[in-house]
Amino acid sequence: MAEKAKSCEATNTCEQLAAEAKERSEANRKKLLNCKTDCAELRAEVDEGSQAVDALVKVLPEGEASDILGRYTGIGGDNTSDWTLAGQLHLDRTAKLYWDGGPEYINEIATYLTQTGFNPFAIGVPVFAGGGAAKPGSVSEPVGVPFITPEMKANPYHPDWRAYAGGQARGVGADVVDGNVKLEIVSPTYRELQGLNKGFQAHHILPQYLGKMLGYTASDMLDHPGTSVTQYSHTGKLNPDAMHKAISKYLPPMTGGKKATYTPEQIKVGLQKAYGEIGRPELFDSIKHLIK
Amino acid sequence: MVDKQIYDLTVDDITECGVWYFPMDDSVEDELTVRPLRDEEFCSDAQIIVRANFSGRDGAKYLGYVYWDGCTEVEYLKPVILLGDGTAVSFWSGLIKPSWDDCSVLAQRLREGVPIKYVSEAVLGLPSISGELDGLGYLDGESVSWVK
Repeated sequence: MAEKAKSCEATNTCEQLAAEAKERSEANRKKLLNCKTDCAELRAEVDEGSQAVDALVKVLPEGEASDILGRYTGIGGDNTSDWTLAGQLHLDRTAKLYWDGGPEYINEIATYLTQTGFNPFAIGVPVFAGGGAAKPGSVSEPVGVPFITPEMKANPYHPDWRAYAGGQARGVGADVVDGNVKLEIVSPTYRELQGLNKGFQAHHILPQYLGKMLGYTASDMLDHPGTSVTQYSHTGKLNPDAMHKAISKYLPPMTGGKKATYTPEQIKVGLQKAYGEIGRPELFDSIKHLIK
Repeated sequence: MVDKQIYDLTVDDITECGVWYFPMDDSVEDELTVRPLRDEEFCSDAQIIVRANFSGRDGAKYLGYVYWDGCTEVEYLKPVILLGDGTAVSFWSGLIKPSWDDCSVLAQRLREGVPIKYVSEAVLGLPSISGELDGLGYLDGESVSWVK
């Protein structure tokens, strides 16, 4: 592709270059969407690819080729979106491992933190001592961020809260758990996911129609946990496990012919059952503190 | 026609447009906003509601909708009858035990027609769905119960 990029203007083949880049990007996205145990590897590939594109763009003269390729790695570019998406999918898989009691979840988290740049230690160093040995719910020895930094204090959603291992109550970014017990898998906020991944929808884990019944405003709910899902997973009419289908089974929009109103307890029970039914109980865990 | 909240739909709305979908994106008020479906391409994986005809044991006919779904149990279809006075009867109440007393006077007359049969219109290549309602449905523990 480097040779094609360098010569495309002279040979009037920049359209083919754009088509090839698009085809590659779409193939990568497709591969990514099917990732199972290899999400982190694919994320590394996306990262590597982006670096190669950036390096190529640097040596290209300003013009059509550098514009075409540069779009992939800028803010909102396909590579950038893919990298973020890969992280999301990796976290989703890791959360499932955690719930299923797979001890390898710890190493997966360490990989995620390292790739994302949150690991407070050197690249490749596991964030937890004894990685691979601990089980969900067991007392492990976290050696993550040992104290609350000014940035963490200023921002309860600061990513370092996820690895915070001090003794004080954690920020909401760590789901307000006591330190030294277990790591909670935390969702990003809806605001962070908005418009991030093309072809995906951001899902309010505490749906807005229920959040309103609890007194939250639309603005409040932008900072509530969210998750990025395909439309098929979100609302798919042929998907028996679609999130909103499960939620409205327990908490439908109407009862007795009128707009439904639910108590906090009913919302709690309904969402717990709904997310449990589709095999995503960790989603309920990420918002249960908001139901009061 | 413009977006509406699902609980504000009227019999005129469903008469005018037989299929509505839930956009579920940032262009709408919340997850309960529905929009008339004019173009098939928007409905690939969106949840949709489709117009349905209802008929009571007493011969009375009504218009309403069901959530189109691959699963045909009442908890997925959530049938709703829309009445001429602007009120409605929803036949699925989830965790809440419903009561006919909470329905409008006109809606309460439907009770005499239970069980009520329904048939949805076949749209967008999706087959028609039909079934029978034994009353107002809800989840009683893990199973579906009816208030007759």
